[in-house]
Amino acid sequence: MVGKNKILFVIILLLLGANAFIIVQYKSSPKTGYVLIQELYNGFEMKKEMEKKYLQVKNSREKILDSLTLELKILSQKIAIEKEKNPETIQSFESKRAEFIERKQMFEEDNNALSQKYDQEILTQLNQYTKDFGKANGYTYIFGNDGNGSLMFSEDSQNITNEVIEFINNKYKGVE
Amino acid sequence: MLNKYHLIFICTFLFAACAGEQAEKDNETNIVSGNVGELLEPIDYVGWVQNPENGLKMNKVIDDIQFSVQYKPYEYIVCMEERTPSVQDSLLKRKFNELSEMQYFDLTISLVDGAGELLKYRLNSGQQYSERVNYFSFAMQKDIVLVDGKDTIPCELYHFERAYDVMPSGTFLLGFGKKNETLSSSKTLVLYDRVFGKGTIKLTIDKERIKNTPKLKTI
Repeated sequence: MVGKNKILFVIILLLLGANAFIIVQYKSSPKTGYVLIQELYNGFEMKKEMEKKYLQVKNSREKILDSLTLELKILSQKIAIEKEKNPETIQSFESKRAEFIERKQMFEEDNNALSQKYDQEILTQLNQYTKDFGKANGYTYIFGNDGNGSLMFSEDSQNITNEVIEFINNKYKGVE
Repeated sequence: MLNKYHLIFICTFLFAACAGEQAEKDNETNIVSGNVGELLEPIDYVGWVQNPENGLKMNKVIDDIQFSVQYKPYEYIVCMEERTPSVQDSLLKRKFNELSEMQYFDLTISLVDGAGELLKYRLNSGQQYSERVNYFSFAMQKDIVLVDGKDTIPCELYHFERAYDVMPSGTFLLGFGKKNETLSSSKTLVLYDRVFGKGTIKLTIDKERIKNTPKLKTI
């Protein structure tokens, strides 16, 4: 009887020891995961909002250019119809055309600058929140998979893209 | 039979493991709803409101800049104005009437590791400094809104408190009008940061946290 109890006790101790060993191993081995960068970027709420904002600005600039194009068309038709060329109409056409070219170039530059500015702001927050996710969930490494070969293989179970998207969106909304 | 010391050892081990988990759960519950209906003295009330664990103060760090918002219940404003160990009930009611048209927040922008004046952080020129002073003093008001439920409310009351070289931060006292949903919705302060290039910053005060705010003890 006593012998059996001793064996039982030793088994329980061994189980507890094994448990402790597994926990220690689990905690000491680096926790890793990877995210699909494009999916992460596209799933980020801030990116969606800034994209909308950018398109609004871009569209309103395009409308200005469209109305200038229309004015140019009307003037060119007027010039074509006139039998005797009116120098004032030609002058007006030339100055409108110059204005159109100048504005078009300016808008293109401004659109590029705005797009770069928004991209930078989005990436700054995306990187910060991904870091916060790693720290909050005890990750040692989070790899980015953008399909260029920097991450050649990983098991699907290591794909944490959806978890990270949920986390960064909550962070962006300021609820976490 | 098993030796009783062996049994005690095993039971203690298992109990300790379970108790740890339970304690964590208890802590979470206390932060959310542990103070409903409680009456607090002014000093305790102020401490409670300013404690980020109670959810009326939210912080967000983006790289080198920290953005922080403090929701200010009317009782809190009265306590901060009076700075006395006790507050009279009549005074509180009078102040309530004065304040009740709006809802109030403090927004603080600070350098995470830096020192010196916030306005001078990563300056390119003297002109940029003047532009920042002007922007923070006046124009930034247009870049702040409060999303209260489904309503987006512009900032109506705006005051910039400069800390100069005393602290690497700047505080903005903000006031927004009240809408119908004010009492039953979460409130998100939305700021578009033009100075430090961080973009849209959102900080949300959860409606449950507002509901769970204790009451101020008056005399």
